[in-house]
Amino acid sequence: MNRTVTIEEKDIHLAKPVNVPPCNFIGRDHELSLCKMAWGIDQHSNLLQDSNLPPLNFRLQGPPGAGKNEIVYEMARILQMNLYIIQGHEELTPEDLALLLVPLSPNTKDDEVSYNTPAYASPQTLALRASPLATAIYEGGLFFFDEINRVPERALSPLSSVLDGRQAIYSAMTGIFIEPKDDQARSRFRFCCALNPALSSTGRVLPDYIEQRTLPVIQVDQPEFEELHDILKETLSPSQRFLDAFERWYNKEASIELSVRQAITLMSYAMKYRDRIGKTEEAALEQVAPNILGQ
Amino acid sequence: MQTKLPYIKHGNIYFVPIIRNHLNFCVMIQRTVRDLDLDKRDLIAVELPPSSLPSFREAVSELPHISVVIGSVEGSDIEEVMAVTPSHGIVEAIRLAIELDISIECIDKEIAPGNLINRYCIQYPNWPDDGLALEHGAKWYLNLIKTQVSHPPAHIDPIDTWREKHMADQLRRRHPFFRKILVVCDVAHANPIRRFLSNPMFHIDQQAEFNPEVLYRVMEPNLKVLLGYLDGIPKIVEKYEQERALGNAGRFDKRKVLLNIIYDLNKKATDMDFSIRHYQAFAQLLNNMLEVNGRISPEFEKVMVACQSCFNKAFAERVYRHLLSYFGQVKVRRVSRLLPPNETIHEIQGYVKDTGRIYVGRQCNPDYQKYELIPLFPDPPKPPLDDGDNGIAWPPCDCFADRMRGKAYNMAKQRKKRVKTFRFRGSLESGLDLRRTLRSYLSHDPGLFVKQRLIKNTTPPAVENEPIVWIFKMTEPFVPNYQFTCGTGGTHLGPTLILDWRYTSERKSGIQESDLLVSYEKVLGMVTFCNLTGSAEELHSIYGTKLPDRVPVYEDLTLIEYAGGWGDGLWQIEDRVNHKTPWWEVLLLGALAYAQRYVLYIVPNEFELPDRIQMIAASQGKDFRRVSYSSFTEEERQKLQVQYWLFGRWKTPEDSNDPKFHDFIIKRYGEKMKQFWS
Repeated sequence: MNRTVTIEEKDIHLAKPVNVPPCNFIGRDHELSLCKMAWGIDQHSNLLQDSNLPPLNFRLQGPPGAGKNEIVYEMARILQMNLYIIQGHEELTPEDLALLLVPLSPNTKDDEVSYNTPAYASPQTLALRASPLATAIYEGGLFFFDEINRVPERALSPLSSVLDGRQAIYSAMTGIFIEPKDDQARSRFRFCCALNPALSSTGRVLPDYIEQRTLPVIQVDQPEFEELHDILKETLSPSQRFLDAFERWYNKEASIELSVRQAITLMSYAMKYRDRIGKTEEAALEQVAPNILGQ
Repeated sequence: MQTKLPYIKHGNIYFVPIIRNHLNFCVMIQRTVRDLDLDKRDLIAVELPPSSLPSFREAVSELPHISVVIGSVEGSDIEEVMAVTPSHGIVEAIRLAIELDISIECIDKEIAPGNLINRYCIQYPNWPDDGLALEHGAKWYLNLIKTQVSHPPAHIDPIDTWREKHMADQLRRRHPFFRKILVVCDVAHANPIRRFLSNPMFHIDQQAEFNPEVLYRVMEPNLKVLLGYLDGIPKIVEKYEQERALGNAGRFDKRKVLLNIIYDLNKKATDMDFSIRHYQAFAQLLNNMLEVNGRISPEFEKVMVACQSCFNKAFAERVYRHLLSYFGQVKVRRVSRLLPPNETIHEIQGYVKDTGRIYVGRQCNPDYQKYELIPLFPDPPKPPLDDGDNGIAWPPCDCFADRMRGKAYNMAKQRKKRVKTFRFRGSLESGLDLRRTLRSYLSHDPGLFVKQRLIKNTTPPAVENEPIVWIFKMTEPFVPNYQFTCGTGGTHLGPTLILDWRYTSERKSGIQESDLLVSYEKVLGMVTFCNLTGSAEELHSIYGTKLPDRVPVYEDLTLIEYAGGWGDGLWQIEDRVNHKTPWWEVLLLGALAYAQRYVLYIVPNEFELPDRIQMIAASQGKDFRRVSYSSFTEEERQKLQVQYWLFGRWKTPEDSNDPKFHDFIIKRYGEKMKQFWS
């Protein structure tokens, strides 16, 4: 697939969308409903609605392992649109959100970007590569900024032109604006982000102008036990005895707030432990819980 | 041809089918009366038994105060209930008839309440929004719901058919004598009555006289009735009343009114500093919610979800209380837990249990709000009263400020790294700077660039228990109506300690009740000398004999001159300030006077520490440590910029920071403070 486009006489290689695996998503009906409302998606047909108003750029907030990323993946599955993701971190720079300069192996075809040939093997040329955000804007896809509060404030400044009506990002390196390729792309572009608010105690906070542009806030807390139970059943297909043992263990450890990720890891490890060692289900859970939960 | 008329014409009879206690139908009646230009030559006929009219007139005269009309038969436990509210279409019709001096008649059949016993109500979760009736017309809406209203429980035979025949008969008798007849009846009866009008039948039953057995009386409603019969959002009904008084009832739009209510609350929330973007996001989210659910009129639960997502919990609490209030008749204190948003906020009980009586009605509302009244915990015992009004800072504010002090200390202790990039000089230093190298090829000055990470060699300062200066906004050197104030602590036996010192606005009133006054101040800057929640004993254990050098006492206060004139300051800085000293320098100097080694200051990015302040610090062997303002979230900064005060008649304990006393205050006033602090 040709992933190279020309914008203002510059050849730019587009980023690849994320491969969203098929999944039988469980629960989170309220959160999904809010996400759909923020993005202007019809609840029944799951189609983007025509509206004169720009969509809202919702922000998912919640502790780790609660399912924020999975909600976004499910939105991509519902809409059947390309999803582009940037993972926020402390070293991110403004250029990472727009265009990057990458080495291009001369052995590749002009319309491919390949990293197979070692850099020292032959003379290198450089190519411009659009970030996932720039690609999503250009093509009219879905964009997800994960852990956005880990990013230094200066790296977030290009977002202000993305999150208001302009829907464009400026590349300081090349001096060009990346805008939607046509009106359809403009109407289809959607932005969302996620963060763990607990990081604010270490100074990782969003600047005001980004906080106000990423509304509404959709709180994603740890699920209730029933939902956790269904997720484990769907993901790992444990035996009913193991599920019952998990329920007993969970009720006993009432003070623990178990994330979905922790629950899946715990159950998976306990199942393997039982298979290898041969203890009872409950004993297996008791044995492996400290390794997973750090007690 | 489909028209959008608010009525259905049948000869000279004009039907406005209504759903009881749905405000939009009142608007339709208003529009109908205006469009038809009704006057003394016309008649308004309503679906009520004739014997109830005097009681209804009495109840209508009390509006906007809400009453219920109860119909009962002596010796029977079964009573008929009809709420008289501004959101009831029949009530609107009666009011208009009285105001415009139009004849009014009740054409429903006299029925003893016992004959209504088989009527039951269920909720239709997907009942079409009545806003659609305003948008598309009465006939269109009636057509939309015709299946639902032609079957139980909306239409129960034989009693409803019996009533419809009777009403048609009454109309047939009257229509030659009036120019126009406006009929206001339930949606379930409109079409059957029209059919009976078109196909006259022999009269089976002629009841020309009042039923002397059924007595109607006007009573005060209970809270459940009030909340249940005010169309879901009582405040909107209150606004309708106000607009009605101005003659604007025919143009009333529930969605616009709700958005205006939220906008006004947002503007008044000066202690919360929301930007217009919050409101815009709320309006758009609510709009999307309504669109995707095929609604025009807002629902209470959706409004609350949108508020919590776009504002914050305290504002959402404020909205909750405001929307559920209705003039002086419903004043809300929390009557239910806030259930998960995907459930209705409240649930209704079937009937009022406390009287042991059974209440019935002539019609069901398919979309009634459900409310649960959970018994409230009894109020904690009132404290012994004192003579004067005692004030206390809202304890969670102080706890929060202490947490932020802890965060500021942590930020100050972090090692600062700096990365410098320069052209390759022979050493790879801390590694290649690939980006810079690649960019240099684009700029036709290619070269290799390397990074050098510089970490400050100095050991992070052991910053604990030092003063912290917070400057939230850079302003003019003095701000009109702002002054220096302080928060105190300590015991009655010892000196009064000054725990924090602030540059604040005048106190603004939050709520004022018989036993409590809540006010708040906006804070531009402050110094916290120590933890605000520490008891005197704790402070002594932290600072030991150095406590007087580290935490000022009340006696240290004196009048000092600064750019704003004269204000309460600390005597130690008296010589260092004058009429040109800005308020922030006053705070910095005050903090410096009580620091042991360091003063932390948290300021906006554009703030530059004045040179003279640095020199004074250096001369004292002290230093300033800056903590980035952007390390604090917007919510944290907003909370620090407001100080809430409670004034009441409680007896102040020996130590104002006594944890038991704080617990008492929080328990007693926590519910009221939810609209200010979350």
